[in-house]
Amino acid sequence: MTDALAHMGAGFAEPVHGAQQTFRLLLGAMAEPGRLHTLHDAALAGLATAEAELRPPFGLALAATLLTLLDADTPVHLAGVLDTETARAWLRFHTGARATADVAAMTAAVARDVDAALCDALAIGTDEAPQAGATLLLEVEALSDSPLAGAVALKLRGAGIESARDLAVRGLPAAFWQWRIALQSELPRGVDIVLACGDRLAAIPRSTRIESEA
Amino acid sequence: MTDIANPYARALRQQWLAVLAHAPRRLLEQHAGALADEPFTRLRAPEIGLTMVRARIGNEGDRFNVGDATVTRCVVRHRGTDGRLAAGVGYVLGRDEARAEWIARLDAMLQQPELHDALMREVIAPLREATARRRADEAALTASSRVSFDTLASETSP
Repeated sequence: MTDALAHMGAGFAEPVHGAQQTFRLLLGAMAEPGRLHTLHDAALAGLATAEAELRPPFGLALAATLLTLLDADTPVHLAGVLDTETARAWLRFHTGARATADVAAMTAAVARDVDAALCDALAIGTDEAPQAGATLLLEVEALSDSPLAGAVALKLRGAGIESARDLAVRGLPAAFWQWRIALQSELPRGVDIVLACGDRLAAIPRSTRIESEA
Repeated sequence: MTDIANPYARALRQQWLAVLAHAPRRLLEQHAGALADEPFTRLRAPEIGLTMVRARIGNEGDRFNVGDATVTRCVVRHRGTDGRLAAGVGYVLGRDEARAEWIARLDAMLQQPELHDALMREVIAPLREATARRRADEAALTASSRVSFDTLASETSP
């Protein structure tokens, strides 16, 4: 265990400052759906350590989001390739959150590859308590506001967007976006999504309507 | 040294951590201050929190909650000359961030095989003595006001 601690991935250099700056970033990302945001230097200070083997077990933006949003009271589910012993230990050490295998009981899911089973198991809340809907944090291959080869081109509309905003996302199956579009009719129930790639992130809250063009 | 499966190594580390946790602040500062140039990185910056102290009366019966105590903790990482990484932890009672970090630093360096023996000799041994001396002084001070209620045997008893 001590040895695991010696090789534990890094967290924020300044936990309070890093989390505050990232929280502000997430707030901005949720307010302006689909707009790309780059991590603040305060968040990168500790996470982007020069020693490659001591980097966190997630991408920088996803790691910063997890450090900011999770605490001991947040059940989190790690899906697919992200569910490793290292990742669990890192979450436990830095945030106190315990990874749960039970998808139905969690408030945040972290995934790189989403499948139908995960989507269907996510809580979307109820009309009385829409806040019980899960937050889906996804690490994607590429994220851009201009067209991207091999990426799904999304046209986003809704609250926080003047007319329409373009977002290209690579690394998520078309079935996922169909599921997300089908969920739009359930508002105010739904799932809030944060897409992370490298040191950048964008959010697609449940109020955003997606028109897929791919 | 970091092998927790080895009960001997584990007991040894418990011992030096206990010595560090009880060491007088002034001496600890002296020893840890001399290591300020070593390559440390903070894994968990010093943070203050509450912990519930639980106890059993006379080491018997059910445990009960005595009360909350403030605790400061810190984890640092040290890179040895051969690139070996060691993580040191510091937990102290009370709100003293510097002390928790000094202990974490010394703990990390004590786990480096090439530094271990020298540190045990030059840091842990004197600190252990200082703590023992302080405890003896306190015990002596308390003993001077000790009242013994000796019962005299009654003359009628056999």
